[in-house]
Amino acid sequence: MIETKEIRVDYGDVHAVADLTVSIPTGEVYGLIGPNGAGKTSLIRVLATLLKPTYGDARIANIDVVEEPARVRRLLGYMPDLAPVYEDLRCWEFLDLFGAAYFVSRRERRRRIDACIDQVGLQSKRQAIAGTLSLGMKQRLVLAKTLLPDPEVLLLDEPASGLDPMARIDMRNMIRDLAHSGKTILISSHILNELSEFCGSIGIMEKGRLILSGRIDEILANLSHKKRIVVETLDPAARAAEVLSGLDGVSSCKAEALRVEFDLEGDENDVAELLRSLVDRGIRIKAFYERQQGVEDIFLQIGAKEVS
Amino acid sequence: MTRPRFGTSMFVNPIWLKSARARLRWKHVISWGTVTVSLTAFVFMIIYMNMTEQMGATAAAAAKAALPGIVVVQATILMVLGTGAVASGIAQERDDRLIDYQRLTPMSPTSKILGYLFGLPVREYFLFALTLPFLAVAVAISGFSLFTLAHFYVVFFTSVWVYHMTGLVAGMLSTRPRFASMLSMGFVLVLYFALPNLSRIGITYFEFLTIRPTFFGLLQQELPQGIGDSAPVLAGIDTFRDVPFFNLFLHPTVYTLLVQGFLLCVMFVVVHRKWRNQSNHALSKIQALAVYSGVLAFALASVWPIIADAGVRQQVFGALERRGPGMHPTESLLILLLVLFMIVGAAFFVVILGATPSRHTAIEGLRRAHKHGRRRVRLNSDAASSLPLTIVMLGLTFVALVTPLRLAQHSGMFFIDPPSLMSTLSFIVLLGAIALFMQGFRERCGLRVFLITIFLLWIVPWFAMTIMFSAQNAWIAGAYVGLPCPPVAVWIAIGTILESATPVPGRSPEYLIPELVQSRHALLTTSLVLYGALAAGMQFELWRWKRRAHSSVRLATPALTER
Repeated sequence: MIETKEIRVDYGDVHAVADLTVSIPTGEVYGLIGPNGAGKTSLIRVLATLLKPTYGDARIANIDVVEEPARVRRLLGYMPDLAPVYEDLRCWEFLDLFGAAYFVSRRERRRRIDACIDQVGLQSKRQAIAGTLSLGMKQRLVLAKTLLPDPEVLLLDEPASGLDPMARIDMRNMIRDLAHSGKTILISSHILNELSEFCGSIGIMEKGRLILSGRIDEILANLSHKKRIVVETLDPAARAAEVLSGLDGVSSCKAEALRVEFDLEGDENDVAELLRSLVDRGIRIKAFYERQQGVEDIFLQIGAKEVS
Repeated sequence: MTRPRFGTSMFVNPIWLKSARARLRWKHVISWGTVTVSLTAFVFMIIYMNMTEQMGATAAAAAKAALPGIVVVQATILMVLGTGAVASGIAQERDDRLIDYQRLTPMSPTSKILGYLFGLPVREYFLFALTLPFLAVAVAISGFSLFTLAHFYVVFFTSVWVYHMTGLVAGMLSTRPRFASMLSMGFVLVLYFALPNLSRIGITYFEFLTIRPTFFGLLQQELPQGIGDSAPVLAGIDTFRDVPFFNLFLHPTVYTLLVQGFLLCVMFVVVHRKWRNQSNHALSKIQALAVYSGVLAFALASVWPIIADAGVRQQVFGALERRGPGMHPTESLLILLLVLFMIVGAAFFVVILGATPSRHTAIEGLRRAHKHGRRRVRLNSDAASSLPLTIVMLGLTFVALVTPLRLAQHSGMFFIDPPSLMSTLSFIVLLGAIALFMQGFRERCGLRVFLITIFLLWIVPWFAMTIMFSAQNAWIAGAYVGLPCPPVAVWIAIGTILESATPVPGRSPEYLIPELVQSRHALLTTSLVLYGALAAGMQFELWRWKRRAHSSVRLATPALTER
């Protein structure tokens, strides 16, 4: 559905996106990760037809975004970071504007506005002036605007940036629902663990390049054969850490208060054996589990932190 | 999705509707409406009551006299407030990045532009509508001709749209809302007050960008005697006559619509390009050439009849003669040529400034071309060098500047002998050198360095020359110091062309400062050497830079097809 081939974006001497090639199949939710200045927003703006690449091909539904932007725009829903709104319009007027601009008929528009307002939970703010909304509500309103023409492809640039924890959870839930609706979604975010919940694939960008891309489970499998084990103890964890550091296959052991976390190289039998060793040596264990690795672990292991 | 039909779509144009909803809320309507109605009522009543009560005029005459006052209020609302609203509104949307939302909708760019053009000043249109009852009363009482009124409002509204379009252009080009508003106000002031003054020496078309000729011509001449018969008003009424255009005489309204239509089209193209992509140049190379040709055609059309037709010349320069001592044909020709050069030079400067790529744009274009297996950037691309455009424009400029000279020579009114080939050639070579230096420098060094250098190289010597002329009477030294400033060099060159012009009795040769007459050939040679060297050096440096850029791009950018 979304394909780029050797896309390059230059701002003067700075290469914001450097020969980036990526392919996102229909129905996939693809998370784009990287530090600030890695080139995520530039890539999204190229795909949204808002920025002309220096060179390279970018296609959505096999339509060239540079050659035929008007056709591509009919398929797109784009939500920028810190999504702006018309401060002097009421919420329904803001949505009505874009419904009309996307040629949704008046009757259908009314139905869709109601549906989108319900979907983002802004029923009580239908008549409110957009400028009086909180940042989180404005983000919801822009998400509603993005969904109104029922686009096949969603480009969401940092949709949760600047939101408080509660609003972020709400936003995450909304995006998770969208992910289940079968749309193709490209989302960039700094909140890495949230991406794990709804992204099938991720790409990590650094200095304008895509340094890693693929399905999360495959990347995790390729990145590490180690298991991340967490032990919660009833006594100070320092004693458990001391015991663990003497065992075979244990590495990266970190103890804090009543909790110790470490990597273990081995299979399920080795995990069971290790647990028994701890109990045999008098460690009083409250909980013992393997922590599922997520996007954050991948990001930390890759260590991408350089900007373009 | 259903597409609305174009003809019925303005009032359902979503962008227009958005502005109407946002800017016509009750609180705005009541507060602004109260002020407007009060102000218009005051203007109407003070004129009407004073005339009927104090001056003993009839009701019809008093109502007629109130019409210009109402028009001034209307013009202030639509032209001043409306233009500001358009410029700051569009710049604000750009600043907030709301314009990106609009760019992404499937509406056509034309619908979007119309939506903004009529939507952003919607409150001002509403306030204008509130003045109409007063206008209707004034017309009903005075029996003012409805045809004349309709005629006037056609030009009034085309002028309003020109100004609003300048606001839209300013908003699309500038980055900050406040700056956009100031820029558009600056445009309006220049269009309204500065440029129309050129009509005094025959360059009529700037005057017709405003409603002044129509205002004075249609409204003022219908006023009762004793009202509006001051000298400026009479001069204004005097401008509302058929306008010479090459060998034709056009009705002033037709001419106004022609000039305003041209400007509207140019601005529409600029806004349209910026809508499609903010990083686009304001005009493509071909569009820039078309616009430049248009400016030349209008300038030449104004100058042509003044030189070719003694009656028109008398009409135009007769007004100047009335203000001062008699003007000799040679002097009028010098003024005309200098003004023509200034207009052409300014248009050339602006077009080259706008159509020349920055270094980064040029390199990006090279990378793009190379990636897609082409050796060169397409000629009409924004990234392409503006050298071919400059050369074609130079060709047109020569035609535009040499034509009036030839015409003057054949009219038998200005020259005893034809200008020497050497002086004409020197003039042409000088213009070419200035243009090639300017283009090369702009392309090689970028806008900021170009503008700073132009200030240092052009403006500072002019300042120094002026000080040396006025404070020290150091005429020759001052002229040499001022030569880097192109208008000074061109003035010397035109002066040399006019060597064979009919002498001005008792003051010959009047076209140059007398102290410079002896040094004119040395000054011209110096300016030719200076600009020749600058142009050659800059073009060579540009060529070297392009070669380096080509090689580095070739090395760094593997072609798509090779992979």
